[in-house]
Amino acid sequence: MVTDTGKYLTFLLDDEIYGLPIKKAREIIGMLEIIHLPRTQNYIKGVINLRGKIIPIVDLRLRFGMAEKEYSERTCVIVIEIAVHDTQRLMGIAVDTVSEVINIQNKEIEPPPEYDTQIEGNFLTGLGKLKDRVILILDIEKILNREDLVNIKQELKDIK
Amino acid sequence: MPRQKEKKNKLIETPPDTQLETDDQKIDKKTSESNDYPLDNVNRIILGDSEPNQDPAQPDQKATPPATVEPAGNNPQPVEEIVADIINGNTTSTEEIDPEFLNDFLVESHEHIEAIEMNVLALETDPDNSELIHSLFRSFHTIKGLAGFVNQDLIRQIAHQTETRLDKCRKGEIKVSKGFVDLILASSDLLKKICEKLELNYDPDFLKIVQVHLNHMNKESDFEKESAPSENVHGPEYQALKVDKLGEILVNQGVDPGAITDILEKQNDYPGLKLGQIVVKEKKAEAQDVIQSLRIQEKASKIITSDNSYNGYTRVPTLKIDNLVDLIGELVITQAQIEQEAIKRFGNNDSLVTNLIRMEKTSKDIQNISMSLRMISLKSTFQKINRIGRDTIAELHKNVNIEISGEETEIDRGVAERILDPLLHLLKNSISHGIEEETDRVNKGKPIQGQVQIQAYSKRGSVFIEISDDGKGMDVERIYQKAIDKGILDPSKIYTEDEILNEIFLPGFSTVENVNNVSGRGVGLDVVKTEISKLGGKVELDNQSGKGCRFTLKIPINMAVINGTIIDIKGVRYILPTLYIKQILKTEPDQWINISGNKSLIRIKDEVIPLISVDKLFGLPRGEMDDSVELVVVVELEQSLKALPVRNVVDRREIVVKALGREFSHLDYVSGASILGDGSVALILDIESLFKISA
Repeated sequence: MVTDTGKYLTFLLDDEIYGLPIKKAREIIGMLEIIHLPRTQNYIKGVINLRGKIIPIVDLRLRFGMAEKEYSERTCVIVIEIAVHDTQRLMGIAVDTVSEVINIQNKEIEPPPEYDTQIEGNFLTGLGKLKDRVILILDIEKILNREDLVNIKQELKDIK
Repeated sequence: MPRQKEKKNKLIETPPDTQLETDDQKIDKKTSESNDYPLDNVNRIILGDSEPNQDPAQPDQKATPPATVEPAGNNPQPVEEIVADIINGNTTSTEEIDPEFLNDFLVESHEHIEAIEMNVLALETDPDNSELIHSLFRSFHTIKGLAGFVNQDLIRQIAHQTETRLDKCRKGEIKVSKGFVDLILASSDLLKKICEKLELNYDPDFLKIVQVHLNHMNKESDFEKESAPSENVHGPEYQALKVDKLGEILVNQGVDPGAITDILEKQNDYPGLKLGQIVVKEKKAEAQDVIQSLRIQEKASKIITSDNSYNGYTRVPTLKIDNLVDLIGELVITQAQIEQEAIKRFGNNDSLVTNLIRMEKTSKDIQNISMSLRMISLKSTFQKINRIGRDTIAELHKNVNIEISGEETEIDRGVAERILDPLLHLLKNSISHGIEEETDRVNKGKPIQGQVQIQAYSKRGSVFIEISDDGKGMDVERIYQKAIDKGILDPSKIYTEDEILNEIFLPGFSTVENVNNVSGRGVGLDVVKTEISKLGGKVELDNQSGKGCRFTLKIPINMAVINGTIIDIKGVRYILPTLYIKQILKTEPDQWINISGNKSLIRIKDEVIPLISVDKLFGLPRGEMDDSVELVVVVELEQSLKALPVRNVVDRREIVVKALGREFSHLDYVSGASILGDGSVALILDIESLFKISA
C-alpha cells in the first residue's frame, strides 16, 4: 500500500462492524430470489440472477458460524469481484445491513489478534481502531476462497 | 544426425583433411534439409561450425572456430545501429512498452501464426502456389514489424530470417521442399512458444535452440547461394519486390544512382550488412537520408501488409460479448414482463401494447445477433488438428493423406475449443490404428496411400463432423472377444454388431496390444464420448470391416442454447435437456414396485424402469416419497432408461445455458443453469449423473 488512507465499506453482523476495501465491492443490492444449490455448504445459500448473470450467494453469518437470521428488508447483498482460477468472478455476500463508507488511515489499523471471539482470526487483515468503534477488516478473498468450497467434495463422499 | 555430428567433430580435429571434408559437408547440408535439427545440433554451434558466410574456397579458416557465435547482421557501430534498428522496425528500443500494446501484439501475432501454419500446410500439398509464399512472407513481415514496435527482439530476429528465406523463395531462388516447409514451420513454432511465454526471451536453453534454428536457416541460405547460378543474386531482388527497394527510394531522395549501383555490386563484400548500412559505411549518403528513405519504405510496406484479410474486422474480447449476451437476455425477459403487465392493464389493442410488441421483435432480433457473435468457423480447429495429424503421420512413418472440408462451418466459440481434443483423438486413432501399413494395403488391393477425411457441415441446428478413413475398420470379432474377456459382455447372449461396437466407448477398453504414445492407452473413445455428450452431442460409429470406419460427431451449433423441459421437483423448478427425454407419463399406483418400503421401480407396459432417487441426487436424508408426484419423466442414455418422478412438467422451450462457475464444477448433478422467462434461475440437471445415482 502506497497511500496511507483506505476507503472501506462497512456493514453489520449483529452489532459487530465489519469492513472491506471498497475496491472489492462492485455493487450493493437488496435480497433477490435465491435458488438453492443442493449439496453445498450451508453458508452457500444458492444462486441469484444478477441482471443476466448467475452468481452464488454466501451468507456471511453462516460463514462465520453465527446463528442464522431470516432475511429482511434490511438484508443486503454486497457483490464482490474476486479472482478465481485466473478469471474474475462475481459473488454476493449476504450481510445484516450495510452501514457506510469510511476512511481508515493505515496507522489506525492494528494487526488482528491471534484468537477471536466469533470468527477465525485468519479472515481478518486487521482491526481499524477509530475513536468510537473498532472495525473488523476482512480478507474477503480468503473468505470466498475456493478452498472452503472444495470441502464440499468431502461432504459429498460422506453422503455416498 | 549422429553421423553428421561425427563428421563435424572430425573436421575440427583434423584440419589437413578439410578439402575432402568440405565436399562431405555439402552433402551433409543437402541431407540436413530433410532432417530434424534443433537440439541435436547444439554441438555444432558450440564447436563453432556455424559461421554464416563460410567460403568454400578458403578451407583453412574453417579450422579455427570463431570466439563467439553472433546472429547475422549485428555489427555494432553507432550510426549503423540506428540504421539497423530502423531497417528492422526497432525504433522504440528505449521506450517503455505499454502492456496493452504488448497484449495487442501477442493477440495479433497469434493470428498471424495461425495463418502461417495454415498456409504452410497448404504449401506442402501445393508447392507451386506463389500466392501462399506471398502470404507467408506478409505474415512474417508483419510479425517482424510489430515485434520491433514492442521490443521483442528475439521474435523480430526469427521473423526476419524466415522472411528472408521466404523472399528468396518467392523470387524463385529456392524451391519449396519438405526441408523448406519444415524450417518455416519450425520458425512459426518458435514464435508461438515465445508469444505464449515471453519469459523464454531470457531462457538460455531456449535461446540456444533459437540460435541453432537461425544458424540452420542461414546455412541453408548459404548452400542455396552456392548452388544457385553464379550471377548477382541481388539483381532480380531489385526488381521483384512490390515495395520499392531502399536503393530506389534513395535515388528518388537525390542520391546518385551510380553510387547505388556500385553499392549493390559491392553488397557481397559486406556479408550480413543491409544496403542502408553499406550506403552509410561507404559514405554515399547521410545516415539521416537513409533513415528517411527507410521510413518511406516502411510506410509503403505497411500499406501492402495492411491489404490483407483482417480488413473489416474488429477484435472484441469474448468476455465483452458474453456480457452483452447476458444483458440482452435480461432485456428480453424484462421486456416480456412489461408486455404482459401492459396487456393485463390496457388490453391487446392499446397502442402501448402494440408498440411493446414491436419492440419485443426488435429485442429478439438483437438477441439473435448477439448470440451469433460467439460463433466462429471451424477453420482454426481444423487447422490445428491437421497440423497434429501431419506430425502423427510423420512420427509413425505412415503414408496417409488428410483431406479436410467444410471448415467454413460455424460453431459456438466455446464448443470449438472443446471439440478439439475429441477430434484429435479420433484423427490419431484413424492414422495409427485405422490405416494399415503400406504393404498390407497393397496386399489388400487398396491404394498405397491411406485416406483420412474430416468433413464438417451443419444441418437442422446441429453441426456434424465426420472423421472417416479407408483403413481396416473395427475388428468386431476381436472387440467381442475382448469384451467377453473383460466380463463386459455375457457369452451366453447374442449381440448385434452395433451392440458389440458400442463397447469400445467404455472406459478402459482398448484392443490394441502395442500401446504407443500416439493413441491407444485404453483411455480414449470413452473420453471422446463423454466430452461430446457434455456438449449435448452424440457420437456415432459406422464401421465397415476391412474397408474403414467413420465416426460422426453431432454437436449442437450453439452450446449456449438447448431445448429444455422445465420440471417441478418438490416445488423447485429444474431443467432437463429435452434431447434425453423419452417420454413423460402419468402414473397409476399399481405401477410402482417397492423395495424395502421405498418406491424403487416403475412398470411401464412390459418394461421395469429404475427410479431416480431425488433425495439421493440432492444429498438429502431419505425422506418420504413426495406424495404429490403423479408424473414420471423417462430419460434415456446409451440405451438404458430411468424414471425421474416429478410434481409437474411446466414448460418446454429453448433456454440459454449459463455456467455456474468452476467453484461448483464438482456438483455433478447440475450441468449449468438458466434464467427462466420470469427472471428466476433454474438449474439444469446433468443427465449422466442421473444414471450414476442408484435407486
